[in-house]
Amino acid sequence: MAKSTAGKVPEERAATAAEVEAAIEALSDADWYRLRDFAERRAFLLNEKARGRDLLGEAFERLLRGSRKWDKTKVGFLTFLYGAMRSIAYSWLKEKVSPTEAPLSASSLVVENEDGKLSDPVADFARASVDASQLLVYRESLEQIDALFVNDEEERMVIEGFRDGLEPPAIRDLWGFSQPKYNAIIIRMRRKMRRAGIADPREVSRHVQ
Amino acid sequence: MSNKDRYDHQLDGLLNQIDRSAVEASDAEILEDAKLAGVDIEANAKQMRQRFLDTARAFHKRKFVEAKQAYANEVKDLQDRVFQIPASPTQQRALLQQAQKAMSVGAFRDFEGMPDSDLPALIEELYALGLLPPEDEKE
Repeated sequence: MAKSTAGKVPEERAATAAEVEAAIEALSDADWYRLRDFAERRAFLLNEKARGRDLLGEAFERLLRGSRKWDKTKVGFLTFLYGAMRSIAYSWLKEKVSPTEAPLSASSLVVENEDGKLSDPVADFARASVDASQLLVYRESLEQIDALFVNDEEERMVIEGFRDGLEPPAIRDLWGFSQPKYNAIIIRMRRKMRRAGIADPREVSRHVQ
Repeated sequence: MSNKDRYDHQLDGLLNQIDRSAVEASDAEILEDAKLAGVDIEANAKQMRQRFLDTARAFHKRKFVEAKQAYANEVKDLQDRVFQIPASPTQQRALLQQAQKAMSVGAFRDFEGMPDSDLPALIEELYALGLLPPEDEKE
């Protein structure tokens, strides 16, 4: 996956405008599809927060503006853009649902447990960092995805592993899948999701019932 | 909150793995993905590449225009500035004495031997270079 490109990039290692243009020219047709596919899947995760926004365009503009620098000595252009999109998507995800959302005083959330110990709402927020309505949206999105795989036992086994936070090797071990078998399942899932419009949030409601 | 209820983590984890599979997929696999999704991969690439290049070029053009404008503003500012040139060559040489310590350019050091007619231009140049104090800072 994309390596982190966070941290200050020394000027001499940051790609110049000419190098960025050369990198654009060098991307293959498949690379452009990869970028689009990646951006649209992240937009699905963002749901409403992605509407009217262009994640890939934003990542690229930040590179041009210099607010995100591409360390050409560390990662390739594609990997840089994946990392930038992930990071931007994460920051959009953390935005308030509505600009009129009222701020809540942390002290009003402090509760005392049975032992008389006070909770730490700030730490709780950092751990949870999503509200109930957002979680509901995610649950619905997961249900839409689950519905796609309901008739394929292998796909359901893999998705169950992902939802439990397992990495691919653990999933293969758990279900006894060989690497080629696992790859074939993942490809099937990826294509099924794409066909169902999972990568494009505007299409979901039409395709997945 | 347990991971069982963290639908955001579950969804993120799932999409990460699908992303990973797409990132690591061979070009042939990606071409097949696009075909199955009904995407004309060549037209898609052409359109996206052009959009990125246009954005990059527009951005650089804007930066160039901004830099050019800033330079023009600076030149105009220099042209518009009115420098106080002392009336007599003696006073002009006295003013130049003030800048002597700050000057390191050999050509300027020999202003004692410069023709009187060149002194005002040199003073203007030194003001512009910031080697002479502005009027309001003079003792």
